[in-house]
Amino acid sequence: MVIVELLIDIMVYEGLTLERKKEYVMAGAVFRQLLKIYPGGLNKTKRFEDHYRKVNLQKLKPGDEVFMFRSGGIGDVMFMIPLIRYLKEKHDVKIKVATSPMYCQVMNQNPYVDSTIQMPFLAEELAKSDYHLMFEGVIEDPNKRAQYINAIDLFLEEAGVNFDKISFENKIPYLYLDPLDVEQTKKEIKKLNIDHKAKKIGIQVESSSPIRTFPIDKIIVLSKKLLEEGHCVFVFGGKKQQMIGEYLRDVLLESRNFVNLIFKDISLKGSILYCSQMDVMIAPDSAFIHVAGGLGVPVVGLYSCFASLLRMKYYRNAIGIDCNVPCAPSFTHGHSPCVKGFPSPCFSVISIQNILDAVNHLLGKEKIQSLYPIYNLFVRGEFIPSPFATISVPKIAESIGG
Amino acid sequence: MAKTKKKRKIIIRKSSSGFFNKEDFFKELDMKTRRIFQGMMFPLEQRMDQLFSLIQNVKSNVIVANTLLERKEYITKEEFLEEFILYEKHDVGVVDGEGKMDGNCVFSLYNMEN
Repeated sequence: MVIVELLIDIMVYEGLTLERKKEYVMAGAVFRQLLKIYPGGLNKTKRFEDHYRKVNLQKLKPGDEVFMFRSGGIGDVMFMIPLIRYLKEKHDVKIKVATSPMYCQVMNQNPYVDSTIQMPFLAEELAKSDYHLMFEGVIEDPNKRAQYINAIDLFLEEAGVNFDKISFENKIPYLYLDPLDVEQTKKEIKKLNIDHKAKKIGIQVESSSPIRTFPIDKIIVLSKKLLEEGHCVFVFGGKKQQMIGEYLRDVLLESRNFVNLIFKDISLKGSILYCSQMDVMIAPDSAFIHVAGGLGVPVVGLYSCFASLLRMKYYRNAIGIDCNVPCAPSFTHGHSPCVKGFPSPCFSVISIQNILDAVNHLLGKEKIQSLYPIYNLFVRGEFIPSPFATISVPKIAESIGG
Repeated sequence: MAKTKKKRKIIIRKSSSGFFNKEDFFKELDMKTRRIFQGMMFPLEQRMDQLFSLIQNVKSNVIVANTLLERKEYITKEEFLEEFILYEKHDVGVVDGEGKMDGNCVFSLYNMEN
């Protein structure tokens, strides 16, 4: 994190404008990006470390304000939720959260969050709170523990919480929805010209990072197969995926059970509401795995460079399909494609049938155990590291429901 | 007094077109080394072509292949082979011409309620 002074007005994302002559706190990556676009437009002024008062559980008093911040993405912001609940219930503190404008909606309905502000935020906000908790870098390099400890546990640990003592029920990043909004969404779905008796399967078409994006040709075949099996297919995505949504709509035009939810004015909140109505969600290692996990919607996660255990371990009725190839898990962060090509070649080991089997398992049709006896080894969620992995990964022998 | 051998590391960088190619690699070498290298790799040319076709789709900013040729003038075929094999081993997870990798997928089931 850095504290910078702006020499010009700068509009960042979602219409958020940063004013000149004011000091803002922003992630180092955002600062570097802005500096490329506006060379000389912003200056580092103070050391962030000098103004950062990391939370100390021993000194925390009821009524203290803890200011937590992480710019994104959605999943990473959601990893804060179990910790927020813990701090509120155990220490009765006020919780202020800062995140990127588009992700504030994730926190808006959360009863444990007292206030939400947008990132980058004014530097003076730091002085208003008693303690801070910054999560940039917690699950990224060089933190090697992020290669074998679940992200939610790492977020808890960042605040000094012994994550082993928290029940897995309390580690679910619950999302809270307004019942009126849910009713409205149900009505909208009822108006759709689809087979309403069919199961609703949601598919997130793309991840924010190309390396984690499942091949689009497979998404098309998967959608076709699901439609052939009599399910309704809802495709999810952001504004950047509009063209993919339109392309899928054109390809699958003949099916009335196909619903493209990637339209122009789709909001994250709207997508979350639709996700809450799905029978199963399918998503690459990205937002809707966590959204589904937080809503209790059964989910199939398609994982490439990270192990599903590190992200999905605490979600109910969740199946992670991991690529067991020599270079996985490579723990590659960032927004570049895989060095071996795009789409990531490791996804070639996940067949459409594998995904359909996982979906049918979650729908209670055919159980994976009878089809893939070897997969029973993974029922307990134990991480089986690749023999080619460059780090030694301790076996996590934690018993979770199976 | 023994002559000190100058060590030189070869770095293959992304070409302006965004892809790697053999020409870019040879541009990194001076004329003399290039001739030695080309002569030496004659029986290996086919393998080199395979390697380059493999990494043509590589999109990282920089791939360091500094073990391909370490010494400027004194590299032997054996040394090259040794280093080349090391390089290949380092690049685990080979992708075939159709973009497929060897391996399988594994299922992890979490907190199943039925």
